[in-house]
Amino acid sequence: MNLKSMKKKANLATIYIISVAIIFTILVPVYFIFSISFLSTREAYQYPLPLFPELRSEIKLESGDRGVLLSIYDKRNHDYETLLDTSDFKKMSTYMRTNLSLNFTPEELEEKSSLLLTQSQVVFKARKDVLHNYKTFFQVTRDAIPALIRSIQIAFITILISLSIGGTAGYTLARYRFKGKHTLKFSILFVRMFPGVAIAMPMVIILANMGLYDQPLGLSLVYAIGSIALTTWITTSIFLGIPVELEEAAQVFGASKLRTFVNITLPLALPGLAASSMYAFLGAWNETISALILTQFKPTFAVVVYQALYGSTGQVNLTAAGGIAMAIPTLIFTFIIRKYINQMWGDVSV
Amino acid sequence: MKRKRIALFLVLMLTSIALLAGCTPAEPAAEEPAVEPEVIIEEKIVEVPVNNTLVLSSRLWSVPTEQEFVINEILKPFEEEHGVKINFQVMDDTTMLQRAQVQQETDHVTTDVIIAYVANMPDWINNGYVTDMTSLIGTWDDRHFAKTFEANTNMNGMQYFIPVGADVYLTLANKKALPYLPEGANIDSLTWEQYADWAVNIAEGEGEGKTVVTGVPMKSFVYQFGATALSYGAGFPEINTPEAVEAWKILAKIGAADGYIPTVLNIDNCIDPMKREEAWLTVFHNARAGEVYSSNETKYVLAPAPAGPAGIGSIAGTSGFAIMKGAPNPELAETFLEYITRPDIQLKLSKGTGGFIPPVEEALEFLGNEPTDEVISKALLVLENGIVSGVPGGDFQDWGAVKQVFDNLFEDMVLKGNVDQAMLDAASAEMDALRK
Repeated sequence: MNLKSMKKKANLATIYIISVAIIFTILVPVYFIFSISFLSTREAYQYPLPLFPELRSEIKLESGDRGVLLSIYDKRNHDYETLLDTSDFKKMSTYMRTNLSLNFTPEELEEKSSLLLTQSQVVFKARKDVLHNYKTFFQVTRDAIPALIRSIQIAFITILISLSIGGTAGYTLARYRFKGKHTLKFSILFVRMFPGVAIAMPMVIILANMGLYDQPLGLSLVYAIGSIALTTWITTSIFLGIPVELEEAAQVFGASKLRTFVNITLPLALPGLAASSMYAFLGAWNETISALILTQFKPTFAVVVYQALYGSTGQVNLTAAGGIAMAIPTLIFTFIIRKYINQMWGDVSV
Repeated sequence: MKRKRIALFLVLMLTSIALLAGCTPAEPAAEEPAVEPEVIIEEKIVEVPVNNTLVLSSRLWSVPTEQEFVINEILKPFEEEHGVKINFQVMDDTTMLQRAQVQQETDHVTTDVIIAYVANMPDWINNGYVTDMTSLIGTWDDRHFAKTFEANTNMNGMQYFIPVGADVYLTLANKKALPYLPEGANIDSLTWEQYADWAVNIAEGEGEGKTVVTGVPMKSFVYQFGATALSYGAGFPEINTPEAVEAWKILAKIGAADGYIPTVLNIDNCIDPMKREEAWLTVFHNARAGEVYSSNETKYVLAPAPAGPAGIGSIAGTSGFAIMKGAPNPELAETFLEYITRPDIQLKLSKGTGGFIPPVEEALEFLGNEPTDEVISKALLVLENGIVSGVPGGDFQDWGAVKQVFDNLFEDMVLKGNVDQAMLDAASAEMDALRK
């Protein structure tokens, strides 16, 4: 094997190692969040953290000082860990649900405990409710589903407004020469420099006067302000990357300006529009502070997630479930437009 | 030419949309009569029947399991009894205040009842966001509220807030730490010297520190230090007085023996390391200590905070109910407050939410013998017999900066195991510069 071939293989191996390291660095935290979202509260505070959630738990009941002593089998220590000593079966039922993700009614626990009259301990296995964190999350938020639908509506209206206005502005800035073009191009971004919360008050006044306070359309308008600026910048560079000669050629063959735009320019600009849509979607989907102030009876999904998880210190599993629930629609949207994303920032193949 | 026209049209469209969406708030108000939009707003904003939904915004009960309990066990019975719906929203104090400001200044109040933290009550009262409830509270003769918090809940002889969910500091230890308890020490009547010896014994015995405070800046180290300092007769927040120096010495003794957990500077709350058993010993907020305790009552022991020569010191806080000025459902709000401040409901609420102290004196008659009752009893012991101090955040320009002064001392002095008077004097001067 010659030196050149060895060097080539070494380079290839280095690239693979770096690629795997990068993938590993990205995927491991994602996997952990995903995995933690299925752990019970007890499991989530074990050290080391379990890689996979347990599907079944082994429970032992014994006579205790206060009533019934509840223990769970700990696979790491190969022994039972005592958890609770109480005569209050409602409390035991709540404890098992919130800490162990096991669903037993107080009556069922009382019935099992009654066996302690004739035997020293009662051991039984139970299937863990792996979706417990998600159920709790949606239970606490109460109107999570309407909020989810509302957030999707808001995100899509934001995209619509951003693309129609920002896209048109982007085309204008790319194709036409006029006085103050560059100043306008830069000044568009000024709007993104203001924190949302700083302009919340005038927003409320304007939205209230428009009858749009606490309405999805109102929030879309607020979110669109920032998105329009970004969309304008992205689409400008995309339109600049599409040769004018193509449009002129179409017009030579008799196509109108509108037809040229729809049939020639627009399809080539799709990657930029997709990227802009993604930014607009993410911005509208994740924003919380303005939404907290600008909504009352019609919160967004980000607001209900915030309200449910704001105080979830000590319940990292619930936080993970909320995070996953929040991320899923974004993942779906990104998956749908994924093929255009790679071509963004002017990488248009003509 | 045509191109220029199209360009001009597009730019004009963009500009007008930007203006419409928020750049010129003054114009519509100037053009339209002031009264007309109000009518439109009322119709548009409040779509849910006003008398049927009570909006309760709270900084308290933010833990999801607490929320679940409050919703199912406290709010639901009220909803069923009165045929109403309660829109319960949890948010941080700052956002709640900002939202109130927005609602008050735009005259579109949609929140009925708020639960704010004691340190923020002056902001609510001084800005006129909440109503005077003196006469309402005067009609309730079956309950009396703890006098400890009157200075914050009342102003100029009028009561604006009803205290709820009070907190003090408690000692929480993993049972694995008990064998290291110094000879003759009783966890229920521990002194700070014994606490420090205990932490040192654990570190020596286990080969690594097992005591925890919140080492991440701007969290609660200042309060944890405050508990110690108050026990030695210092005021809060004092840094360099002889009494405060004694408190620093206690903490530095633990630091000198590497008694704090190795990751202490990454700890932003004591719940996680205590639950993970990474830490075995701490003194912190009773409801959060109760949260760890209730995660496995057989694994932990709870006791009042350690005592010093002056007694048991603790930072004490509370939250409070208030009715928003201009609330859409004032009568329903009053009915709700009458319900939720009933002594039995207060105790049920405290027990179901980790062990906050119910600031209703009559609630204590309902205390039982369950472990959660013990958390409340021990916290109450500290509140009633201890030297407690509130958080004088209002005396400083930036309370976060004050916290940072203490955090720096923890990192630069306590963890190195020495007490440097010059450093303390400099820190004290730094803090004084932050006073209003």
